[in-house]
Amino acid sequence: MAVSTILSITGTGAGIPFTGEFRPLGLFESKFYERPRKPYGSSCMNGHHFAHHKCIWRIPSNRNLNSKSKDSSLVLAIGKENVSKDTDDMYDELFNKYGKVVFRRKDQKPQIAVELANVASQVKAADIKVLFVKPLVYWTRFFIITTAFSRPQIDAIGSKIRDLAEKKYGRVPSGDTKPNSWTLLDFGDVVVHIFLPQQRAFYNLEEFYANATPIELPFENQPPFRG
Amino acid sequence: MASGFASKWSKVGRQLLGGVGNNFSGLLSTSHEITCGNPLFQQQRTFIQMRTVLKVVDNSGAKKVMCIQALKGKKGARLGDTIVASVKEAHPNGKVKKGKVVYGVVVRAAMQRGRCDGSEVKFDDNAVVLVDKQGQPIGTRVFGPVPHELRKKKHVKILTLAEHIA
Repeated sequence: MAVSTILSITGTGAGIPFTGEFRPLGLFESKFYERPRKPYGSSCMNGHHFAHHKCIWRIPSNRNLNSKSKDSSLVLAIGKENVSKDTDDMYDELFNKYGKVVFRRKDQKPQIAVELANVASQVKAADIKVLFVKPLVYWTRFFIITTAFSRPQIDAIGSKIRDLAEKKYGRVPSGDTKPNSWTLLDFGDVVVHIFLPQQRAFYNLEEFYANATPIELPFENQPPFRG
Repeated sequence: MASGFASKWSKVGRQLLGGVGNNFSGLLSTSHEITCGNPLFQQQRTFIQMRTVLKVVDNSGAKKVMCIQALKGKKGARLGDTIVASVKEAHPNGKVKKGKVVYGVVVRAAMQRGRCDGSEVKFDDNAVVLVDKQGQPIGTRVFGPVPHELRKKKHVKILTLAEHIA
């Protein structure tokens, strides 16, 4: 296969970025940087850094994995041509100034989560906990963890929550349709977990998300184990 | 040494690089980067199919499983798909024993998977999380990064148990 390669090396010495133009599969341009900019960047097998038009991310395996920290050894989404050194520095500055996850203060007032928790308590679900997990996980805002004592009860809680969310907020959950011993309803920024008592002890999500701030619920919580 | 790299290239590139290669010893790394970025020198990763050995990344007790069947897809399983596997290696006192047939969800795959924004994601290894027939994870924690694709595929339970999401 004849690869026509056109190289244009500009600049006056080592240590400058240059642009190469390749044409094997289609036109794309890549920018190369002389020295590695960050300790975590996408790298090819020999540890050199490159920027590719089709963002291929490489996750370094088993390196620098802190649990629940956002500045992990993840790659930058390199691939757009205007990602330059300055943009990354700017992001770094923002992170250092404002913290790793930036969220507005009014996110703390969770209307929908409390509403759903209310519905759950109407059906006599026990031990309802609402956790604000946005600082820990970025893919959702709230977790609602609750215990039900039988499968029909799980079904009932599930359908009540679904109905309320659909009527009042217009949200349809993606989740289990059949009740399982761990039923999960995913409303995007709110995730509802309904457990049977032994599953709750088995998976122990409260321990896993112990760093999340719990949200106060305005009603009496029933004790976890019925007499 | 620069000419060594240049020899792998086409004539046009070689003429250009051979001439300037000696001057820019510092550009050695960059020419090697070009070699790496060139599709001719990258490994082509493929699907997870029968006889693929995968790593288990939860605390269910198994260490390695071998895929028996990919449940969806004619050519094999990809990131986020479910497979049927047989446990080949297990921890001595775990919930699953060697030789058991289990279901698993692929959480890391060496083959790249496209995302809706045009980027692709791939990992260094093939890893799986064991689930039961209903889709409930057998273990209680998942180690290592897991990608976002699992949310679309309705494996949010694995996402909640994961310590790090890519």
